[in-house]
Amino acid sequence: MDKLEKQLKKVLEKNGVFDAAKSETLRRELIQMWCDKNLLRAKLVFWIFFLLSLGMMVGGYIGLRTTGDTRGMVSWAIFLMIGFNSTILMKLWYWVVDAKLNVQKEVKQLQLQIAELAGKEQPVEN
Amino acid sequence: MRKSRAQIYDELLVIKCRQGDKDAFDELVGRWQKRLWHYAFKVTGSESAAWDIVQETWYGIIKGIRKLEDVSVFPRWAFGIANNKCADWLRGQRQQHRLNNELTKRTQSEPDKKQNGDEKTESLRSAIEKLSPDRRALLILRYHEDFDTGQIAEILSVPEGTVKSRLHRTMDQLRKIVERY
Repeated sequence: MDKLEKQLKKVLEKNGVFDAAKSETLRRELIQMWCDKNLLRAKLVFWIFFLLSLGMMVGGYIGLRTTGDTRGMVSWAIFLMIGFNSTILMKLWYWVVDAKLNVQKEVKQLQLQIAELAGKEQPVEN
Repeated sequence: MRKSRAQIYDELLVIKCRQGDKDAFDELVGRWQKRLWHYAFKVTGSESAAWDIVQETWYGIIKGIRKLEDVSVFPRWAFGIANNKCADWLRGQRQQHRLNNELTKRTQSEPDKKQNGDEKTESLRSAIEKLSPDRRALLILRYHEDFDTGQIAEILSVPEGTVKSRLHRTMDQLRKIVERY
């Protein structure tokens, strides 16, 4: 790094007055927004999934009861089964995503512990 | 690639955020708010605009963090969002024919000027302020946030070669100004 670059670094460091009070207000707002969005998302996912599965199961059941021919009954039974199985698949999908994130989290915690053991200034191998 | 403790910790926070952890998000905001604000302030030159940009940047982060597969790109991703918001703001200013006024009105940094009487530093500071916002963004990302040229290219959505040439030209320009003193 040459002299100008060092000077540049110094100049860029000294600029602006960061308003801590404003930052705190914004932080609180953002956390509220985070909670609202997460809650809304969870509610939305639940209701869309619930209504879809319920619709498929009810539709399948009605179809099964009203259809006379065997081929139609088999089709409606498959439809009903898909509706029922989608609840299991959804749980499975959620579990897979959550498990993946948990593994990533464990790995990061391990990396962090290694970095801490290696010392404050020592970088850690990825 | 080598990572510092702070980088690993940030990645851990992003993973926790992806799981919907409120405390992790709170901590992430605490760790990144100041850096994003400084970046926005230095690019736009307006404190109030910087706050608006930071707020919008965080909205973008909240919206997209769950889709962020590679958590190690969080700094680049966040600065990329902030950079886009800064560009939007500057575009808006330009449309209102107020850009030039805003740039010359960048007197918010006046108190800092008084703190340092070094003529060379002052000339460098005023030279930086006279640069175009995209050149200023380039310098901040390189010499204040310590991103490499590849990462800057990702943030600014331009090829790495363009970043290198722009950086080279900007540094030459600044060198000439400083050498005059």
